[in-house]
Amino acid sequence: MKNDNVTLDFQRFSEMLDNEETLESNGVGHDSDTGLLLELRRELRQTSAQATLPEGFAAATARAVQERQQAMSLPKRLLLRWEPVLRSSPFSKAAAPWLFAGGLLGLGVAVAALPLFFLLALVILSASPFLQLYYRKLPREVVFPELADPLGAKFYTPLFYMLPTVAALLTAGAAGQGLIALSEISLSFQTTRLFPIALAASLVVFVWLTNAFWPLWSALEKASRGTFFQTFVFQALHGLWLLAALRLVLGESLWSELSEMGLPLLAFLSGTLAITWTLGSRTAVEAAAPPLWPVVRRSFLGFLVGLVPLVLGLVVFYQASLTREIVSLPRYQQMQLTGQKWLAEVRAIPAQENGFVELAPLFLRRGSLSPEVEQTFGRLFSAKRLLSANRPKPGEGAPLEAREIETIRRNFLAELPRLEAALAKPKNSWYAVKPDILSRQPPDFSLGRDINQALQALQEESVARQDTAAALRYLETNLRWSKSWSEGVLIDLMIGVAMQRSALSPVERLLYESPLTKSELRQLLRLLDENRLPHDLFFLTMLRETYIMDANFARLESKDEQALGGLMGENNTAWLKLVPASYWRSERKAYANLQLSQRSDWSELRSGNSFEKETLVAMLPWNFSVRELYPNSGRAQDQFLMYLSFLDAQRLQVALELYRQDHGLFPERLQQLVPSYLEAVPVDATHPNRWARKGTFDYQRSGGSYHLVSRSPMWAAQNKPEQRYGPLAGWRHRQ
Amino acid sequence: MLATSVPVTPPQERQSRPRDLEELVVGLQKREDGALEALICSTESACYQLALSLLGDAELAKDALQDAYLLVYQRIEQLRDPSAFKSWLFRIVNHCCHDIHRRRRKEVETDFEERQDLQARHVDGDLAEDLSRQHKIRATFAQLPEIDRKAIALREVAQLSYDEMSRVLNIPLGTVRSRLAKARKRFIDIYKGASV
Repeated sequence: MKNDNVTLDFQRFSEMLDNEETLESNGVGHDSDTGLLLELRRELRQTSAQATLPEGFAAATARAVQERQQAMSLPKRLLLRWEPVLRSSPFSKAAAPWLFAGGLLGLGVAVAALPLFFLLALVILSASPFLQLYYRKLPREVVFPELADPLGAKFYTPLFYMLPTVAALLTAGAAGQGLIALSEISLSFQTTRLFPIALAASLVVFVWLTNAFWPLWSALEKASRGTFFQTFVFQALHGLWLLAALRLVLGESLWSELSEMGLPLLAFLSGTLAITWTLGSRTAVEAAAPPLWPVVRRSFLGFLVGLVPLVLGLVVFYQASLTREIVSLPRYQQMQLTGQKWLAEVRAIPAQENGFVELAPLFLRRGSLSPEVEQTFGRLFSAKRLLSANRPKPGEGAPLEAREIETIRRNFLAELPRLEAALAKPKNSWYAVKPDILSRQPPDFSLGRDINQALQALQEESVARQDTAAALRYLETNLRWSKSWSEGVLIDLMIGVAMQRSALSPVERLLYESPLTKSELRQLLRLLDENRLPHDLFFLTMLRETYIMDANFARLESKDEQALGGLMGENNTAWLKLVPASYWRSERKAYANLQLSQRSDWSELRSGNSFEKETLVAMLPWNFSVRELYPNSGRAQDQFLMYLSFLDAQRLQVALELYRQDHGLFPERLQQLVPSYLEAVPVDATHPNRWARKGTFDYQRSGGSYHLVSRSPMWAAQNKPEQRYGPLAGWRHRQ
Repeated sequence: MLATSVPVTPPQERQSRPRDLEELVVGLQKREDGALEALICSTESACYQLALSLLGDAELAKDALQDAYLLVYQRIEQLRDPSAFKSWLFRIVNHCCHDIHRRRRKEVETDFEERQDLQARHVDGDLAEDLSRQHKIRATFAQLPEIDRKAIALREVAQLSYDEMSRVLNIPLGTVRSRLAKARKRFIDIYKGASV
């Protein structure tokens, strides 16, 4: 076959033949092009003119056509009846009313139940491939006389590219979001310029993707016109890409919620089918689509070429963001010395002097427990129900029977000597018995809290029956128990503070409702003094916290298996090993710089002015969880100060009561309590000044009683103008 | 060279026919009695000539016609502009011929060539020479790809204008021109190639 190309001259010649119907080949040879084509014309017309149909052909054909029409089956009749609607362009007049009605109905269903809407859409649209197969026998351009679809023509092309474009856009957005997320999960990548950098990165990624894929998309757009399956495969693949990008953007929790309702899958299937069905109205183009493989190669090369500057940009960004220096080396060294000294002291505690050695099987449980330990654990665990039995709340279920309460109490009291014996030892250190001394995970503090609540319940019961000796005994055990938890890092301190608040809550009731003798009052005051956590404990705790984390970062830097497993779980160590050591080194330094910059806050203990950094939550699939690493020390500090203020207020009340019993009336000023009852008038820890300059409580004698008030902006955060103490105060509301 | 004359329809008749055709179309849309038969009568000749030139077999051409008229009967309501009936009808005939041709591809080509051989065998002398040339022209035409035969048949047999061809084939006007030119060029090349 000769090649298909015709010259312009020949094309003009061809048109000339058609414009001059009576052109004769006078004088033109038989083999000349003109003569040949004219002969062809004559032959074809002559043959056709001689072709005649037999008599009666029209009548017979009309009869046959009508018979065939009547013999059509019902399904085929229905498909024929609905063909104009089903095969018309969605933008045409035939389909418009149905689409409008269907849209209204769909909206109603979607409002009522969104998953049902998608399910219905999926069921309806799933019929489209079968309809396409049936109707494919008769192409649209043959069936429909009026093919012009000016409205549809404007929408088909944008519709075809909609899913791929949105997928590329979301991918670009996820990339930018990932950069911003770095600032949430990493301390090194804290820069105010991160948002514009992330925006620029999104733009670059979007341009890269669309530039790489556009030739392929364009070629596939032409090739898939008039076909169902090619169009569907294209739309479905890009729909899947869109879903994957959407998952990255939405995050794990929101995605899980949607997935539970089946929404993503339903939306994907019904969406791609709807787009494919709409695009099925496009007319196939006669012009041949370009061959695909060269286009695929071009796209792939464009993808690779664009990847190079992106990767380079990421590397430059990464290197530029790393923290390379410790800001204050002296502070860092002091922190190291403090931590090392503390751990050395812990390691030096002989086992026989450490009360928690015996309790370790209960609180550091590994594997199965012996029957005896199991029994003890059960008794201690259920003892917290004593507190809820004392103060039943509506809606908490059936209250415990008296017999059940008695059993729980008896069991707990049977275990109490074991706890008291442990607390009687010279030292109580969990860190000395931990398998990994550098682990920040505390022992089972919920069990510790159960014991604390059980002791609080016993205190309240004793106060209620006016058994002051028992109340003081349980108070002492509870205060020592809670204090034993507070030595360590920040989480240990906060557990101890919370327990002490619980232990102290029955003190005012004991003071004002029980006939405490002077000796008992002095005993009470001594208990409060001895078990009070010193104010500088917060500073020490934060130095230890920083030291422990610094040591853990160093272990991460050395790819220690235990450290990696402790960070993200033992199943995630493989991919964590891919994180370069330079990242952990940078994080260690950034963490140390950030922590040590707050050093003065820890020592000054200004209330309400602490460094506030909200708990960091990463809503992304990856979660290096700086929340685990960086504590909310601002809030912790406030909790600590409120605890100190509360405990010192208890001490003042006890001292005032002692003074009254000695002198018959309350003092005029708090200073009169010194030195007989208190070594010094305690400051109000919630006062906004730094520790050395904090003010004390407001005290005013009033008749035979007094007002003792803590005024601090901190109470406003709890919707209270102030905190009042004393016999006239609403201390009962604190019970 | 045979002097043959192709019957030419007088201009007056050509002008009155479309109007009648439109009336027939409207009548068929209303499902009037006898409308279908009258419509077939009015158009069968042109359609048959087209089908025959595409398929080269009388029986197959009649089958194509019946299929085409069935499609017209089933979907006549979709035609809003009766004046567009002619191009629509030819489009359907074209499709039905294509369908038959696809199903019976080899049979059609063989029948066409065999018929030409039989015709050439039974004449002598100058007549034989002329018939031989006619046979060669027809054989060359039969060798053309379907897309080329379709273009030439619509122009030479059905005598459609470029606009009408554009509507029937659903291709742009420029493509009609280039396709027709390519088909003629290919015809010439094949013919000359066979002559060498």
